Amino acid sequence: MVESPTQELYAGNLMEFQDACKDYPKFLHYVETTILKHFKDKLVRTWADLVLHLGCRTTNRVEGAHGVVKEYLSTSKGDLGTCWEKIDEMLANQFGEI
Amino acid sequence: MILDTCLLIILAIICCLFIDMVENADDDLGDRKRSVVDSVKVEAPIKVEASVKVEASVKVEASSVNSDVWKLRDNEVDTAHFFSTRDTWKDKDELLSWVRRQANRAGFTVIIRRSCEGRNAMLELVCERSGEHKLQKRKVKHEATRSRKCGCLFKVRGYVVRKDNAWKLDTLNDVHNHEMVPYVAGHLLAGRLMEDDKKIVHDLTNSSMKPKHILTNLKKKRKESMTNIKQVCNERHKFKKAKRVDLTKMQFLISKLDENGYVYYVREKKESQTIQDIFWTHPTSVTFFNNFPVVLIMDSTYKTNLYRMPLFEIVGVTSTYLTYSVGFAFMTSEKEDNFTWALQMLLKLLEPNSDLPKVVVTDRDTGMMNAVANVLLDCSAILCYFHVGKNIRSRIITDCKVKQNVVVVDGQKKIVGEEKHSKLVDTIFDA
Repeated sequence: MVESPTQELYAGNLMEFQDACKDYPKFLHYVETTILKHFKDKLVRTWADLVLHLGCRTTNRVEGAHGVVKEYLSTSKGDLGTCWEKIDEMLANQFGEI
Repeated sequence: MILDTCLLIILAIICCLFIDMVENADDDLGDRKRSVVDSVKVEAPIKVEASVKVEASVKVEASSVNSDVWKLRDNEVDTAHFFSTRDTWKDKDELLSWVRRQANRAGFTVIIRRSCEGRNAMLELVCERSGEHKLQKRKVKHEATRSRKCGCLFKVRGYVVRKDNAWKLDTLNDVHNHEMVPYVAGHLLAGRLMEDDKKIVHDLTNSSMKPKHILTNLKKKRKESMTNIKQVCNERHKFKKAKRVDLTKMQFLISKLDENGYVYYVREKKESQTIQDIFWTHPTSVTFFNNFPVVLIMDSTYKTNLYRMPLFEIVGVTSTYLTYSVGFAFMTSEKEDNFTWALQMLLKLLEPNSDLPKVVVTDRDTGMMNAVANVLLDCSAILCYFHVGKNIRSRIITDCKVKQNVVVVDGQKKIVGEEKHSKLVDTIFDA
C-alpha cells in the first residue's frame, strides 16, 4: 500500500488492506487515525514522489553515517573533545573520498 | 702479611659488634654457620653466629683475601656466571644493553652509578637496590610504596681499553644481598619506556590505536622489551594531558574548533553557565551544503559520549549520490526546542540567496517533525517508511496478541496460533 505509485492504485490497495485487517478493528483504527490521517502525504509513494528526494525515502543514509561515526569513536565514554577529534578525523577522510 | 692485617680487622669488627649481636642473636640464630673461622685458623672463642651481621662491612676485604671462603647466605645470590666474560664491545651503549639484558636474565636490573666520558671513559653499574634504605617521612598515597633500596653491593665496571678503543667489563662484586625476582616483566625499571618507544606510543595514540595494539607494535620493534600495558596506558594519559595543557575539556573543544576553522554555535543555559547545545560544521561541509542543499536527512544517535548527550547528525546527498555530513550537534535533550535551535543554526550557514533545503527526511519523532515544519517553511518533509513500518509491525503484534490470548487457552493450540499469527503479520504487512 505504501509503495503504490499512483492515487488510484493507492485507493485499491487501501481497500485490500482494510479487507485483510477486518478481523482486527482495533489495529485498523490505529493505522487509519495515527498514521494515514496525519502522515499520508509524507509516507506514501504517490505523494512523496512529487518532490525531488533523490531516492531518499528512508533515513538509511544517516543511519549509515552514524555507523561510521561510531566506528571512529570506538568508545561510548569519551568526552566532547575527544568525540570532536574523532569526528574531525572521519570528516577529513570523508572529504578525501568525495 | 696482608692476610694478617685483614684478619685483625675482621676480628676487631667482630668483637665490637659482639655485644650488640648477642642481644639480637635470636633473630639470626638460624642463619648459616660461616666457615671463615676455620679457614683462617683462628682459635678465638667467638660465637660463630655473632659474625653473621658483619658481612656487609667485611665482605670487601674478605673477597680480596679469598672469596671462596665465604659461603652464601640464604637470601644472597651470586650472579658471577652471568657477567664473567672476556668479550669486548664497540661502544658504551652496546655494553650497557648487554649488561641490562644479562641482568634481566639473572632477575634484577642495573642502574648507572657513575660514568665519565673522554680519555678515561668508564661506566660504573650497580644493582638498582644498592644504596641506603630510607624510611619515608611523610605519608604516601599507597601504603605499599617504600624505598626498594637495601644496600646491595653488586657492582660492575666498564672501561675503555685505549689500545683498540673497545669497551671491556670488570666485575667488582657479583653478590647480591637480596633475592632475584623470578621474572622481570613488568618491573618498574625494566619495563620502562625508552624515548623512542614513547614517540611510537604518541604517534599511534594520534591515529587512535588501542593500547594493546600499541604494545604489540612495541614488542615487535624490540624483541627484548619488557614493557607491559600499564606503561603504555600511563604514557598515553600523560600525552593526552600534555596536549590539553591547562584547559578544561570544554575549553579544549572550543579552542580546537577555532584552530581548525570550524563554524560552530554554542547555546548556554540561561541561569547557569553550562552548555546546553553545541553545533558545529567543517568548513568543507559548508561549501558542500551550499552546493547541494536539496535533500537533508537527519537523525540523532546515542552512546557517543560520557555525558549521554545525543549526537544529532545531519547528512546531505551530493549530485553523485554520495552522502556527506552537513553538521553535528550535541544536545542535552531531544526536545522540539533543541531541534529548532539546531536547524536555525543550520540555516545560518546558507549564503543569502541560495536555495533552501527542499526535502527533509526524518524518522517519526514528533519533536523533530514539528521543528522542521516550523523552521523550514516551504520544504516538504518525508518520513522514513522503514521506521513507520517497524512501528506498524510491532502494533500488529500487540493488537493481535490480545485477540489470540482470548481465543486460545490451551498451551498446544497456542503455539499453532502463534505460527498463524506470524504469518498473519506478514500478510498484513505486505498489504
